[in-house]
Amino acid sequence: MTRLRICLFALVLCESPGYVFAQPEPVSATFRRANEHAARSRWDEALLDYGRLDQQGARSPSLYWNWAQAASARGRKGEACWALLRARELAPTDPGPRRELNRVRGELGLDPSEVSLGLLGELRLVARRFRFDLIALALILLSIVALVGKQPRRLFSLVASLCGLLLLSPLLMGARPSPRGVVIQKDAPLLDLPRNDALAISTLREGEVVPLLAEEGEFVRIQDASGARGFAHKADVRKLGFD
Amino acid sequence: MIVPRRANRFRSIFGILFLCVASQALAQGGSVRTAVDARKIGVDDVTTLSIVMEGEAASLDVALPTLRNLRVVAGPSTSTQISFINGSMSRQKTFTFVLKADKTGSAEIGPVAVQGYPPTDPITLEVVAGAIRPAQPQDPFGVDPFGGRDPFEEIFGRPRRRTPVNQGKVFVEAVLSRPAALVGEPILVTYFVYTQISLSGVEFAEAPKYPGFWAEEVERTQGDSTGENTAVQGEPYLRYPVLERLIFPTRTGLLEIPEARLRLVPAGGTFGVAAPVERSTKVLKVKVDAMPKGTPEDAAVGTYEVEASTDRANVILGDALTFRFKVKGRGNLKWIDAAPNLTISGARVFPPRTISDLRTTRQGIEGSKTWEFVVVPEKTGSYEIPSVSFPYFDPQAQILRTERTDPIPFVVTAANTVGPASSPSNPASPVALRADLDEAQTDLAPAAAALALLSLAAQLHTWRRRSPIPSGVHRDKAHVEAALREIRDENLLNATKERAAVKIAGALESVFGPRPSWPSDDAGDRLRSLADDLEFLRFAPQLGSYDAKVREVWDRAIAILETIR
Repeated sequence: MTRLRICLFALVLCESPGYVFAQPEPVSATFRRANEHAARSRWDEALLDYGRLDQQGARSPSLYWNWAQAASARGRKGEACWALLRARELAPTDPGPRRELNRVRGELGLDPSEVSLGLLGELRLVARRFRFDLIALALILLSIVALVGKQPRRLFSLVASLCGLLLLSPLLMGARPSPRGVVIQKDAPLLDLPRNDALAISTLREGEVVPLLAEEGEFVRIQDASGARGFAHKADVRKLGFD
Repeated sequence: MIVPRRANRFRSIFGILFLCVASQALAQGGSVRTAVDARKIGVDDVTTLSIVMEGEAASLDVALPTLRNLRVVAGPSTSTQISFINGSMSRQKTFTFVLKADKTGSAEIGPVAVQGYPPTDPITLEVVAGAIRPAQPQDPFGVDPFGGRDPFEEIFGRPRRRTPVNQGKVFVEAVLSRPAALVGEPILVTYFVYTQISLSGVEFAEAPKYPGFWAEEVERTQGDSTGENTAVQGEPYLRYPVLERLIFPTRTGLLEIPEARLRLVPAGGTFGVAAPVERSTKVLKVKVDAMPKGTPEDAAVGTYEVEASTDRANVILGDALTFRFKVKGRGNLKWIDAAPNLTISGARVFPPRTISDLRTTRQGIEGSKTWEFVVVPEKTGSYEIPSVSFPYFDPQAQILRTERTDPIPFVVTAANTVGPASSPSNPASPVALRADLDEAQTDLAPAAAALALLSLAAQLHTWRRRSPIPSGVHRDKAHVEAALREIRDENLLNATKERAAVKIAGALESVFGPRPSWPSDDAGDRLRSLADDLEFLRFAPQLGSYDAKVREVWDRAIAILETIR
């Protein structure tokens, strides 16, 4: 009798409506709703939904492109800059984010070096933009094929392998770049200590890409374009790159 | 008629001569003048009479003029100055007398008469009781550098003419503006030099110390260093303030200010510089009391006013608002470092920037200090910056006061509800949204890297397995053909097994070289196997027929050579 009851209960649970075991909303539905908010100039709601998608792990250039559009229209140029840098990272061959980034950078009055990802980061970006990985893969496959057969063409294979590795080098070297972030808050202060009552030693420029040197609680240690080192609140500097 | 004419002629000649003499006297190009350094003096004062003779007159001597109600207390001293200007020489001689009045009333210096020059005008002085002017050095040429001894007396056996020395008293004093104070209350310390002699320099032998105090130097103006006449125990002195410090007690109790040593340089001396003397102030004591109960430890002391302002009343969400809290007044405001606590619900308040506009005066530190907060609202709506209080202790009223600002309201609006002038958004440019949630670009670098490693491993393997061709190996066609011809010789199979084995081994070595140089691949393995069999044939005992074996190795040798033919 008890077994029967358990079975019936299990059956009821399995047949219960969605709210008993809440299924997460599909990413595409959230994206569509966010786009609808943006299209109707409800920027805050749109940004909220785009943020939710990011937290869910959606990694789409379109997501960050739309996010940048909404943030830019909302007046959050720094956040738009961050979203465009992410979109560019995900789709380096797409000219849209690159062009839009230049426009936002100009509006913020930033120098190209102030939104730079550093030497290795920029090299990696160029390599990804021109699909060095694809060319390298083809060359390496060719080098392997050249070794197969009765008469292996060793020299040709070696040269092809080395060329492939050379093309891969910026991608491999920049695979683990030093962490960087974007100042998304206007007039965000640079503090001398990681405390709320610290002294504000300067003001950060919105949209500026800064290296993240360390993390201390709610603060990150950064260095701005002028070389000044200090602490910024994590809410003011949003990290680039994906975990 | 003749006499009168002669008389007229005589008069004319006399007149001409007189004019010549007079013009000659005028042509001497010099002058004589007198001057005193004060027209009004006290009975206890001295005055200096200078008789200045310039040009040709400088070569003459002068006698002391008649004095009424005056007597010479020093002098005469003589100084001569010769200068060359634009190639012409000018000369000046000055006789200096130090005079002192005998009694109050009027005094007079008579005219100075020098032969060939017009007499000077008499000088009248007014003499009053006491001393009314700073003490003057009795000898303008300062103290005796030899301490009163005549260095020539022992050499030449005659006493040197004694000259008056710069004599007089000098001492220093530090004065407090008040003997007792509260912690944080300013006290003015003034260092005075009292002197009866002329000084050319005053400096501290070491910087004054204020243990238990925080000290600030008072900003001085041009007129602050002027001296004043004063009398100490009936003696006239000239008093100069040399330093003023504003000190703020930092702890309670009977605090002591140690003595300060000053180095004073009298004017004069042989070369215009005399040996300095040092004087010390007395130790000062200040009774410092704690502030009344209930007064916060870090409270300011003084009298202050507060102001609060914001840079805007309406803020767009995402923008920042600047709130300024200003304290102005007089007291120890420089001490106050802690920013007022500011919390606004629903907004982030960043640590403030401090702007100081302070100056130190005798009454305290005056000016203002402003704390500038950046406030970033997190959502739209109405906000209020709360009242900010500033407690301070008023030493005049002896009570703790608290100044408060009024709350300041402000409104935070969304970007699209604010006019285009203040909106950071750009409504003219429509947003370009993308509908598809596309995939990120595939990164083939990891796969390519893995394949590259595989390729490199394969490269390594093949390069290790490849057949090295050592020196002495002749794999060209001619050599291979020759070796084949040698092996295919019909007589070879009919010969003894030893001879056949030697012939075949020799043919193979002529192509592949000696055994150690054979490759480590399959071909090499086949060669080595064949060589082993040939070795066996050569040395095996003749127990039966080896024709079949000879035939087999013969075929294998030909096959190997054929592969590289």
